[in-house]
Amino acid sequence: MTEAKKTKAPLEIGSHHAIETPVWTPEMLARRRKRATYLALALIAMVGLFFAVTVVKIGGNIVVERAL
Amino acid sequence: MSDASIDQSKSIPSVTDDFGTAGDYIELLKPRVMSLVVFTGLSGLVCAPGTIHPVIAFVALLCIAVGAGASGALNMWFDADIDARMERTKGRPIPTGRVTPEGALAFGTTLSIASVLIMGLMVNVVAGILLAVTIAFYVFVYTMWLKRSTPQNIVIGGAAGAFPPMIGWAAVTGSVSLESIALFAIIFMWTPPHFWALAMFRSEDYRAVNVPMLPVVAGNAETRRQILLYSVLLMPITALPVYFGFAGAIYALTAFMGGAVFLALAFTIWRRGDADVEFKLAKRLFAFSILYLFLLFAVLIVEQGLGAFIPIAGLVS
Repeated sequence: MTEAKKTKAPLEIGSHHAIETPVWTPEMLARRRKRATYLALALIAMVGLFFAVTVVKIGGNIVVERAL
Repeated sequence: MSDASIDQSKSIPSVTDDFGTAGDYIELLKPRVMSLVVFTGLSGLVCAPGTIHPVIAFVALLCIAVGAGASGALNMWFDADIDARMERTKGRPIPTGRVTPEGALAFGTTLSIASVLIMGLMVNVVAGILLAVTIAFYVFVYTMWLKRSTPQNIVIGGAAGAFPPMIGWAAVTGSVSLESIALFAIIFMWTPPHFWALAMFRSEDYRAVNVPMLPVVAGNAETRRQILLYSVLLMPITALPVYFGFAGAIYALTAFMGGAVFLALAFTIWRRGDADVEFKLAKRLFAFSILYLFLLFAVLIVEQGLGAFIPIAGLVS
């Protein structure tokens, strides 16, 4: 597993204590960015799919109502 | 509170160390298994009587694919301990540390719930219920219970892999019928010879992690006998689509010829018990079993979907 490099990064605001926070390497950040991009694309595709299904389902009802 | 009591760095790694790429998460879905599941699901969609809007059919197949993949991810999460010690599985995302177990669990659970809900809401309730049963059966019954407790694990657990054509059928008709059960039965009866052939040449892996596969518990001689027995039982079941009238002459010919080769391979394994050739024969049967199942369902799709259906006189109503 890729190990996150951790350094002491004191948090001054709202904190009385210095805590360790992970420092992400450029490679880790790039990987996270790529994963987030794929996730965003998947969500957009899902929105498109939901829209298409809604049109299909409602479209059928419109045809029935017009026929009546 | 002292500084020592607030060592927050220890609570951070479980979140920050999950550096899995999109490819690692896709690997969790077992894409090769998923493709066969989608394929058999498509056959159920195509063979079912009635019509379905192409968009709804696409949603149904997507849900089958995602549901199958999600159960694969949950299987990898639960089996991470034994996967790490088996040659065949040690390169999977969790044992290699590319994805954390928590990440895999969250991923699998989210996709399972989403696929079932979308199937139920957008396709129909019966298809949604069948998908939920499939996922639950694979994760709870096979993975968590049967796999590590009985040599009959893949006989009963095979039901999970057999559901997709039924789901596809239900997506069109909204019901379960004898015809869809016939498609279920083909995969159900095909699974034991297929997996036992694999287990024969991977038995050392299974023995090392105490998974009671048949070759480990009962030995290769008994496994060879069981392979032949289930292969013989499979043959009449592959004829059921012809009997029910939704498969035609091309399917009948494929099932007959493919079945003959399948039986010949199973018979050869059973008869030639010598240790030096049994692994080779088992590998051959394993590879052919995949081709055989693929061919059977491909022909069903071609016959029904592409208008190549040639009825067999006297059998078709």
